[in-house]
Amino acid sequence: MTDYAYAGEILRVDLSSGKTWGEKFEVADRRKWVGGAGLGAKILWEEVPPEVGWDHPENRLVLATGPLAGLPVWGTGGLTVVTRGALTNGATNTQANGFFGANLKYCGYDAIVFQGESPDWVYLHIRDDGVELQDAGELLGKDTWETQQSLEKTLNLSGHNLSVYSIGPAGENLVRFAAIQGDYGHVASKNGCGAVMGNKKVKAVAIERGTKGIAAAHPRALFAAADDIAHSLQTDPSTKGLYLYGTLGGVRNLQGMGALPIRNYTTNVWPEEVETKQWEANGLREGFDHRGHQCSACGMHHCHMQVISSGPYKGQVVDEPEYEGWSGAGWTIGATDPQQVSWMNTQLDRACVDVNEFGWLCGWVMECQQKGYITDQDLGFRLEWGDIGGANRLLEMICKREGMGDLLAEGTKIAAEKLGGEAQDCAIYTEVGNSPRGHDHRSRWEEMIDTCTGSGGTMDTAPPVFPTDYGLPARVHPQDAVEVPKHVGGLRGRRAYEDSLGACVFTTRAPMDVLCRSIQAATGWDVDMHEAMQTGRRINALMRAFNLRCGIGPEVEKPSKRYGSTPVDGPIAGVSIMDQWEKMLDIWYETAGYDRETGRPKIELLRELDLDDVAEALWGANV
Amino acid sequence: MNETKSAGEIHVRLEFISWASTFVGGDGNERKFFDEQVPVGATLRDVLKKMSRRYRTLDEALWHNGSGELAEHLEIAVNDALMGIHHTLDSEMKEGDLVLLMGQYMGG
Repeated sequence: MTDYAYAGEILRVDLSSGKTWGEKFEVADRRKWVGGAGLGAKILWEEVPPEVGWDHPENRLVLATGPLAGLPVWGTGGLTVVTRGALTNGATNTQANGFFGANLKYCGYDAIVFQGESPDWVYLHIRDDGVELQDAGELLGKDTWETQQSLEKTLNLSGHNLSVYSIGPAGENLVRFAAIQGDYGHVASKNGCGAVMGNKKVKAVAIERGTKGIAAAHPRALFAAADDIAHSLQTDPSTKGLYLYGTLGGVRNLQGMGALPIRNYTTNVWPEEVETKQWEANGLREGFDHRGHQCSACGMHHCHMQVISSGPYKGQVVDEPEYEGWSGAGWTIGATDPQQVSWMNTQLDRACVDVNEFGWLCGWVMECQQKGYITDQDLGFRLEWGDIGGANRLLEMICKREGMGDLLAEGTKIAAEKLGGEAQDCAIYTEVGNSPRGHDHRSRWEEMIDTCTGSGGTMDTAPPVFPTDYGLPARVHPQDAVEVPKHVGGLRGRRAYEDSLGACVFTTRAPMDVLCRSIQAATGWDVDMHEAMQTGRRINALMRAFNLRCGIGPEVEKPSKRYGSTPVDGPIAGVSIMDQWEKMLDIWYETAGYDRETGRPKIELLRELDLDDVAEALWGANV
Repeated sequence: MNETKSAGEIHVRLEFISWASTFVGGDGNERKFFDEQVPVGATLRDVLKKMSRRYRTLDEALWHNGSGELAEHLEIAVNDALMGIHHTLDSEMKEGDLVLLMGQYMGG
């Protein structure tokens, strides 16, 4: 059988022995798990028992792509990282784009699975069938951009001919919210996947653009579907702005909704001195000299590089922040100068930490200093709201685990619990330990319940995409305690399926039937919307089963005190999510088909999802 | 854009910000204001319907398949409180109410 859409092999790397080998990606597994998040979940469930924690050598680090990667659908260079992550010590499902997925498949692999732990620092070099672990001693201490530049020089390659994904100083020093960054600005950021990579002593993966072809089952139909997806992205009212400006429009929209997290959730009102125009989408883009920095096969006007045009960092080249960067490196910590925020965002990418978690941590320290819960002596200096130089100093302390940075490197939840008292009350985290996105979720109840119940170290459902495709209302009021959890539970599955395709979630924001046509044409499968959703739900259920086996259950599915607090001003002043929390969970559990008391997916659901073995593992004699 | 108020009518102001402004002739990076006069007793739905009758692109973005229910593309606040807190589509408008329309945002 032709390996339509797949390279057909998984690259195994045993770091303890230094051995590498190719393993067939079984045809029977492909349709059931697809790739990316699905393949990673399967490996995690089968190969990482509960006693293997995030920092155990036998933890797996799966860098996977999927069937659309390397094909002409927009944004199909996708990388999905699946592992047992450092923040929650549970399942992780996090994505980045760029060229990783395409280049890996052109070398003949659909995924890389790291296992074991290297005795010395290494990087993995892939060049078609040539796979080598190389000494990374000279790369140590370098940030992610320096690492890529160094490997470009070593391998005498640049541009799209070499894709480098690496950790920075944060990952080397096991900062629990360390990330993996590649191709100058694309970050798999969630749940400390960079700490897992650092624990295995893998500094980088360098993939040369291979020479092997990827066959599509129906090439003409694939081009037609790709064209329809592109047309939808360019014309649909919900995606046209994304097509033109990426996520830059988020700041103004979320500010209007009261969902922009300002100064660690202490206010929802924009300071009067802020010039509105410069925070509009085109204000953020036109305020800089910039150029496109697109991902594989992508026509979106999304990813850009830019040059800082004024202030202390004038002239430096940075990666245009996503909305999350403007939030985590900006509004959350009280910084309102786009030039300085953009610079800080790239420092976070280069040191390689999750911008959301840094925002919550830095904003928390700033508020604690203002209120006297953390003294200048405790921290070693004074850190005021909006102090970008100070924020960067804090980042360096965290990455080197210097002074109080050693505690902060454990993440917001652990650091706040350690300090306790009124300081803890100010901290934004989930009791599971994962990082909320850079939004004020007190105005976005769907994201708060999704963040707290998600099984992959972030949200499982994420924002709704064409909800009427699934018989759900086009929209619900963001604070409707009945309809919101029905929406979140009812749309569960789509995101996990998207995360398995090797594509970007911004370019899969097309109607599901059009997306399915691209998968049909690529693979030759007669996949439809129902199968796609069931596959996604299978992946969600398996990650939840993994977490339950690790001891992460419904008792921790709730926000911290500040995260679930009531806004004091702005568009949702006085509205409390916690008054409705238990009711919302009841509805979400019922909609998802999970057992409210134990958190387990119900037996009938697991059977419906073809997970009989998981049913037996979770429910034992009751099956 | 102003209308003159007559007896038995009230003024309601609509503001479209950022991307939402493209549905009423804006460039997606500005604030566009409309001062509308509507009959006493008009609801939020009436006000929005009046606007969307004037702009086909707004009509397509605001309403789900031409129905009386909102589509997913726009978020609405009345007097700086998100719709659903103090107002529904069927809430009666008052003199001087400010209706803010903004794009839904999905993150990144």
